[in-house]
Amino acid sequence: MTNEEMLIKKAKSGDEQAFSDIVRLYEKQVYNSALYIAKNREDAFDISQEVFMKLWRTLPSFRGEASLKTWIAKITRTCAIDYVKARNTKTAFSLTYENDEEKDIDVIDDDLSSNPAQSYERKEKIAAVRQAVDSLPEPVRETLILREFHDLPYAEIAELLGISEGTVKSRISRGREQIKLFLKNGNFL
Amino acid sequence: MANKDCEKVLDMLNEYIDGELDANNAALVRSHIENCPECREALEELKKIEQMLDESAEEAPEALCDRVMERVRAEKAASRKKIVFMRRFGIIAAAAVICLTVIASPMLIMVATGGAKAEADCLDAERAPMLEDMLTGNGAAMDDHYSVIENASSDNSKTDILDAIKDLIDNGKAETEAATEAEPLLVDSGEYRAILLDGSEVLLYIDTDEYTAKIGETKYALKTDYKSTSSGVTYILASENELIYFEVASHGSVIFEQIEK
Repeated sequence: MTNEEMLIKKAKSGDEQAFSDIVRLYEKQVYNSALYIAKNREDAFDISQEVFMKLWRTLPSFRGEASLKTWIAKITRTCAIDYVKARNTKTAFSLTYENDEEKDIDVIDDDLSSNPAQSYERKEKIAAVRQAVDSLPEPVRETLILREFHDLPYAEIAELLGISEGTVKSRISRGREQIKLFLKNGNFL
Repeated sequence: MANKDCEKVLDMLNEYIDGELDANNAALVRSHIENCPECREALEELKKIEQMLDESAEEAPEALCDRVMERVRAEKAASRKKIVFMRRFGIIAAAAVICLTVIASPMLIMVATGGAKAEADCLDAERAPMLEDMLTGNGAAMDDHYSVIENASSDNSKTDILDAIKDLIDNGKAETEAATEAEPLLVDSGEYRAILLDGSEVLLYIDTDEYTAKIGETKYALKTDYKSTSSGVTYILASENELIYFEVASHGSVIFEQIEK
């Protein structure tokens, strides 16, 4: 039994420490995936919470047919889409239009070893990558997020999105090609 | 290097870096890029994009895990309270069924017909349908009654139901047991206890301050001596039709979970 299988088994029986370990293992990918979809840190935080609460509630029915990361990716996708839909509905009915999406999310540079020049360059690069990903057509972006942040194999992405593996392959290839062009145009590559 | 080879390899580069190629194709790509600078450069670019995407990911906020665990604990506490409560009344209902069946009390007729006030002092109009729901296994209705029961602890609703069962036991021939201290006690939640018969068989009893009543004749097999987790110890009992979990938390509270096979 792998360490993750052990954690799942314990968490299913209500072991809080084991569930907390699972949250720690997957929080980065869930949060970043949510951040790319919601484009807003506050919402990404809320979405991530909902994802893990849903995971906690549904874990007893998790039979291990798909991997835990696929299960989590699926929940993240559903939660993020629902959240953004609800947010957009709220915004549409709001008299004073508020754009909840941060146009460009400030880049947090947590690399303390870098000097100001390096830090600036790094921030610029990260902002460019995010813009590049944001510029992708939705189906391509969604597929690429599942690959890059949830680290899912093509077959599992295909199943989750209800498309063929060939489509997954072409979307990933297209997405990376467009990111490459975007970054080359901005002299980041 | 022939262009056709390059085309083929370039087409496989994404799958190559994603670990999606089979061993033969992966070897083909490896050997090709060793000898083809253009394809090698394309691979390096792809790897760089991967690295930049990786660097664009930020750490999740420190508060996320803490917040999730706070909510998990709150939810767990709420559901534990409800499970214990529902199971407790489930067992009481089970005990009532046994007692009512055994002595064919007029109360059975009263409960079945809903004529609460007319027939017995111990059940009033509000509680009779509740007990009836329990006896008929109307789970949704039990849920509806849950808040009534929960909020009515001060007006002794629970005590009334226990009293009703006690009356049946006292007045009839329902199976009751004397104090069971002498018997090997497996687990005691305060409301129900599991008695170990011979090292592997277990009987369940409902337990109040005044009496202990056997819950049916089912003998459960103790599947494991205990399963120790960081949150406590779990006993698993199995009969032909159901599994029962007793989870004794380290702080002493007990969860009783009954699952139909």
